[in-house]
Amino acid sequence: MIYIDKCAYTNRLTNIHPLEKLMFVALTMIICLTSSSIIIPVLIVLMMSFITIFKAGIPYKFYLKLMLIPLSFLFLGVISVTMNIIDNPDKALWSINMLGVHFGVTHQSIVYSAKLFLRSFGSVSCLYFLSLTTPLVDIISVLRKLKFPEIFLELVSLIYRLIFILVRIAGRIHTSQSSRLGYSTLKNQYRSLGHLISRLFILSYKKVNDLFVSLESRCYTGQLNVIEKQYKFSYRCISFIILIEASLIFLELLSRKII
Amino acid sequence: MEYILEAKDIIFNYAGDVAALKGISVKIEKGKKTVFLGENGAGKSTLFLHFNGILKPNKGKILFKNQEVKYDKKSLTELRKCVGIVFQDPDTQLFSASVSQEVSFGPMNLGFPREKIEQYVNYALEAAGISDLQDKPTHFLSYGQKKRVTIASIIAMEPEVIIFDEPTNYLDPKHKIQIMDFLTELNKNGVTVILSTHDVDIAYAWADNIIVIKDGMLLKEGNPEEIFRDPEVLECANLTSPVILDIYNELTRNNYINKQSFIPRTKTELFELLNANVKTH
Repeated sequence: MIYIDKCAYTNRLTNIHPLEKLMFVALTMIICLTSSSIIIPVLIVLMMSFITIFKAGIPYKFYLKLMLIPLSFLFLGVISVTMNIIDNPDKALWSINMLGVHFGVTHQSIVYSAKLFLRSFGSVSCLYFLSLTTPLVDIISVLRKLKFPEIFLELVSLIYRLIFILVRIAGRIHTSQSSRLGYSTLKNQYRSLGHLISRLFILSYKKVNDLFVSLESRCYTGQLNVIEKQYKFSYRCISFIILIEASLIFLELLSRKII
Repeated sequence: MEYILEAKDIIFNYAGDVAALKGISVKIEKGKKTVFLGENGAGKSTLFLHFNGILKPNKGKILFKNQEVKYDKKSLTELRKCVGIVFQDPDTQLFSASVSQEVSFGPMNLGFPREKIEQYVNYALEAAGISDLQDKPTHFLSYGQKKRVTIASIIAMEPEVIIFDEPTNYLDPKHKIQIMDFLTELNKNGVTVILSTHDVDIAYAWADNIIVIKDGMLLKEGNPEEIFRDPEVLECANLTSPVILDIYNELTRNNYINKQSFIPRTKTELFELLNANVKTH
């Protein structure tokens, strides 16, 4: 997770206007999710992977690993969609009779689940593109411009910042416990983990108090007012996005007529 | 002598706890470098939080520029604009994942226009020597870099007084020197600098005035020579004598050099003194 965050700040597309990236991802995702063809999501996965690896410069090994993570979830989800209760076992490609109920796989359910699988995978590739190329700070500032509720944005930004502090503290406590054989036996593991969690709770409470004092001492008004980084819109990027989205929509319309 | 901050008979206890400050009175001279010495838990940080109105004394009062501090919202904002605190642990001070946003928080709260805020932020980043870090996320910075960000976030409010709670803690020797030089520079630009430390060598070399606190009370205040030549104070506050002063005392006791009107406070000053004396022999 921390490496994803590092990529977001150091990739070659960091300086592109975050609104452009967000629009690109949002539009592509909408097309991907509403598409009825199989080709469009495949194209989207290929395009997003290409941009993430070659344009943004994310190491392809890392990217492949990331893409593998949702695959297992997707497979499990898709299996349950493929297997259905069916009325007529003769039409099924494969079926099983359990307690008088027929479970089976049909040609339709395979097509349907393949589409579902590809659509989800396409959306995942879009979201990976966003999280690998856009720092959260930028996403928040775009959402602020889009008039998202301030309380929600402040919560997101504070949680984001504090996660890193908590992870580090948890790591330190874990090291200090391990160095005293805190995780040597199963019983010890449970006990140490319990201590670690309760300690984290107490520490987060203390950290929040300290943070509040430090905000107060800088004239905190109840709102986390900060200046936003200024980005320039690039006509090149915008025309690129329009071109891509238009061709995707065109392909989608074409495929609907043909199929 | 002009005093910018003054604590008068401050008594304070954290809820349900024994008193942290037991009637302490101190005065901070304007434009000077003041160092607070004292054990952990002596009440230094608690007193600092009184200086910019985070804590309100149970008894006694705080004076800022000879005016009693009031605790309504407007006066507090005014006070906190003028008195900034850099806390000990940078991780608890930094709330934002972006360096420039963190630094802009203070000036934004003072309601300046955008151009002015950008100016302040750039100035502060430059003064703290971290202009190149402004687009970096705070969680990828080193401890020393985070420390500088917290300092920049206070400088950006252009306070007249800056309080540093143990600024050299956990820093390596090189960064320790850098930070102390930086504080000297700040002070030369007219900022009253207050800091707390456990490092007697730094306190002795750097301070104009030293205030020693023990158990929530004032033990002694004075210039570095007065403090460190008082064995009772050192004993009572668990302090040791600075190395440079020890060497100087040893040299004069054994008649290697004569007693000077000016006692060396830094390594360089001591070496100069030695060189000058060797030549005269």
